[in-house]
Amino acid sequence: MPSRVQLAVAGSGKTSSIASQIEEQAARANSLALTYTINGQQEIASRVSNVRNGNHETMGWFSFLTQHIVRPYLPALHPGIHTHGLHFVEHSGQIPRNRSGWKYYFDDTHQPYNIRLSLLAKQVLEATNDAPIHRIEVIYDHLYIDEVQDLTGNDLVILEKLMRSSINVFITGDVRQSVLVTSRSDRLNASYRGVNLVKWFREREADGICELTFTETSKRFNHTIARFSDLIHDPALGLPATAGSFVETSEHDGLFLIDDDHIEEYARQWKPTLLRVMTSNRNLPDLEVINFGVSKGITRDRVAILTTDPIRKWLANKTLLADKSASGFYVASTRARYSVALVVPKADRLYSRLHDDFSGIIQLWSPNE
Amino acid sequence: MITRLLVTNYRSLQSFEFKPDEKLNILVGDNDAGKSTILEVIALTLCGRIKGHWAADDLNPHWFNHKSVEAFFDELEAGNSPSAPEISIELYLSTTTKGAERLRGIHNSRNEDTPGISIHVKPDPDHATELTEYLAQDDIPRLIPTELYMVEWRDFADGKLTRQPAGLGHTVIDASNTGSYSGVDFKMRQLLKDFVTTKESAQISLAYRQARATITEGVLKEVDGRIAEEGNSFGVGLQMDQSSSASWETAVTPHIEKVPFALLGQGKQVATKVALAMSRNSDRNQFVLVEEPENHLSHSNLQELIAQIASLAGSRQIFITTHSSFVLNRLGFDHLYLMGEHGPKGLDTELVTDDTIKYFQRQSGYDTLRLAIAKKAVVVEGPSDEMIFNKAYKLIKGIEPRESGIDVVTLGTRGKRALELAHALNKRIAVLRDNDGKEPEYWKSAAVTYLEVGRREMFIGSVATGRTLEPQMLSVNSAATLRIVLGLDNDVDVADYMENNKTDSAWKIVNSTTSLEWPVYIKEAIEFISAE
Repeated sequence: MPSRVQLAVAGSGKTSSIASQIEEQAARANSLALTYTINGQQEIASRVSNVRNGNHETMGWFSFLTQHIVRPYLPALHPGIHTHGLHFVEHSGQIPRNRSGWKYYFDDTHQPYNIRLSLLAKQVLEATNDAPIHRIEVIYDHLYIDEVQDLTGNDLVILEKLMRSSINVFITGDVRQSVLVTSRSDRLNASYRGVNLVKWFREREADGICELTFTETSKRFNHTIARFSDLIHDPALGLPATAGSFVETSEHDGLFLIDDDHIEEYARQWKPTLLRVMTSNRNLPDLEVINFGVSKGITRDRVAILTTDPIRKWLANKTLLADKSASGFYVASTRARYSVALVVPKADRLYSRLHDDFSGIIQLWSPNE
Repeated sequence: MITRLLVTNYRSLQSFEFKPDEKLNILVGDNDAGKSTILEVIALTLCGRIKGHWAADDLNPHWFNHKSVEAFFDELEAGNSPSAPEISIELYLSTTTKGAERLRGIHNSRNEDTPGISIHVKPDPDHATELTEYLAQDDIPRLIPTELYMVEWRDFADGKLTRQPAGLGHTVIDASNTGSYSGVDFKMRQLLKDFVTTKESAQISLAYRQARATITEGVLKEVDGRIAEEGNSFGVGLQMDQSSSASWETAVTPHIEKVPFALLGQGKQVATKVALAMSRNSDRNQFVLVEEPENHLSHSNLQELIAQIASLAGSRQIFITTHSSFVLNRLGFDHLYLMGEHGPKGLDTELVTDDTIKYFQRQSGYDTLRLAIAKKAVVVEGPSDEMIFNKAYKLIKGIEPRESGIDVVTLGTRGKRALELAHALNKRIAVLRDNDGKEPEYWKSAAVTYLEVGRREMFIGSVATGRTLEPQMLSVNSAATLRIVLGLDNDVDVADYMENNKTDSAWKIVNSTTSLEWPVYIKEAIEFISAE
């Protein structure tokens, strides 16, 4: 049976879809849900209330690689190493240079480096003729992978082996929201990074190892926000159009351009959550402030986004954002139920130069409204 | 199912390998051959406990193989620096073993991709310097300083184990009445506990706590008050024990038809344990370890127990140690494993016919166990043959047969079955029999499948020198000599007397100091069996 891959837009209920599938499993079935972030793991765990007879586990991707792929078969590559824990680094610059052999993958206490774990896992699979996959096939009947857009490089090699296994695999995620990745220094499969992961799945679908479906309806936000969000990523990817099924209205719905000088008044009137690319010294109104990357998964009534130069260029000319910036901006733009405000300098000038695609979507906001 | 057990340096098992049968394993051997150590090792590896204690708590110098420890201290005293002895136990399971899926990996000495559990007892790296300093001292006792050691309990996936893996239940059944005074030992409790769900356990626990509180607050309060009034009580009062040691499990005792377990007869107690252990779903206890079921049981109880074990076994893997031929024959001696220095040797079951197995199951008194355990065996027909053989051996070789590891067994005319068994066990055996009026070649060709020159031979007197032992004796000794030895009057016919008083004649010959000649076939048998 081919694996099922469901790419779904923000707010379409990906995690609850996993939770309800787990609850509907056959009695005595064993299942495992994998996701990259701890928040994601807690999210799934908290929604699975009642699993009949069988066993359900939720674990992080790195724990999975360690416990089920690397550790049982490590002697095939590096005998005498007893892996435990995880040595977390942001990038390879944080690992001392000139470590070779087992030391390339582990620190001196045998903790594996997170960013090299999937490479090691791939090598273990190769050295053992995929023995870990056969082992997992006996343990689990169902495998659920959430937030698949976080997987990259060598992770995809492992993902493909899981998809080809006898386990019933369900994969979900939103390629448009690729803001976290398991390893930034992993060079393999670079052409499938970020939103381009959709191409990888399309190729696998052509090979017959998965069935790809898209869920385009978001329950989180209204249709204007949905239309806006569709404009962010490269149209060449051919992602289906999003529908916003949130129909409640308020005094202030949709997309707005706000001038930098008006931010205090806007804050007083609409109390949005402020979203920004990164921490800065800029003086901000007394509001909840969240960075793009961390805002993933949250829902608010209203947000105001502090724009960057590339975002403003895109608003004027539809100059494509770099993949990673696009993903961050997409996440930020899809947090609010009612309204998304884009904070820019000289809002009226930009408003007059907005690209045609935004007509009927973005309105200019002024304080005397 | 356990497919292999590898043990290094644990107690009597210095370097030991056992590949058990998937269903039934009957372990036989001399005392101290390590039979019960095998059961102990299996239980220890599966549940991390030994006699109810965690392995790390029970660890002591006697865990280590005596020979290895001696060798280590010899080296040390010779001024060398040998590596400290370590204990290693590996229990391999088949890939289809239920509940063992997660124990699979290649962390074992054979790099085999299979589920399994290992125990390693080795010097604790945190105490490495202390160990070196300790061993550098003079005049230390020749004991392993286990305080500086650690016990590692892991699965073949390199996961640390902290409790018995779910689904890999095992049950120990022994007929001895050790354990607590109530007769309900640790294993029995464990068994009962398996029937009570966690939720029920909590409810019982709560109700028990309340009951104790009620007693403390009720009747005990008056007593308590009187103690205080009468003074000099130094604040001592009486209360029901509410500490954690007073758990409900220790206050509950099983009853069989309203009789407390402890008051039941031994046979019934064992039968109850077996029934409790084996009536359950087999995925709760896939392994059953039975230690010397013949101990403390009457013959009829033993018979019942064996029948029970055989009928309730289901898909379980069973390990039994025994000293009883009855147990062995009843359960089928094709499941026999004979303890050897490097591991139990199974019977070559290809070489035993189903007919023979059935034969011994019916003739359950047959002394198969003696044949199995003996280094070499001599099978004779009757008690007179046995006495004469022993006497002849002693006179020719200067020592008793048993001092050379030769067991002389009387088996009537069932010598051919013994040959078949010896064939399957690859034992050296001599079978002596009467010719009953047929030439030796006739008997030898009847058993030709089992005979092998130098390993398994038959020794039979020729027809010309007499049908049985007695005329054979007369053919090599004069009637006059035997008349003196037997103390017969002149008018008594020596041949007739011997024929009619076989045992008595043999007894007299054995006790005589007169020098006698022995029949050729007996002398040949002695040379054959005593050869190295």
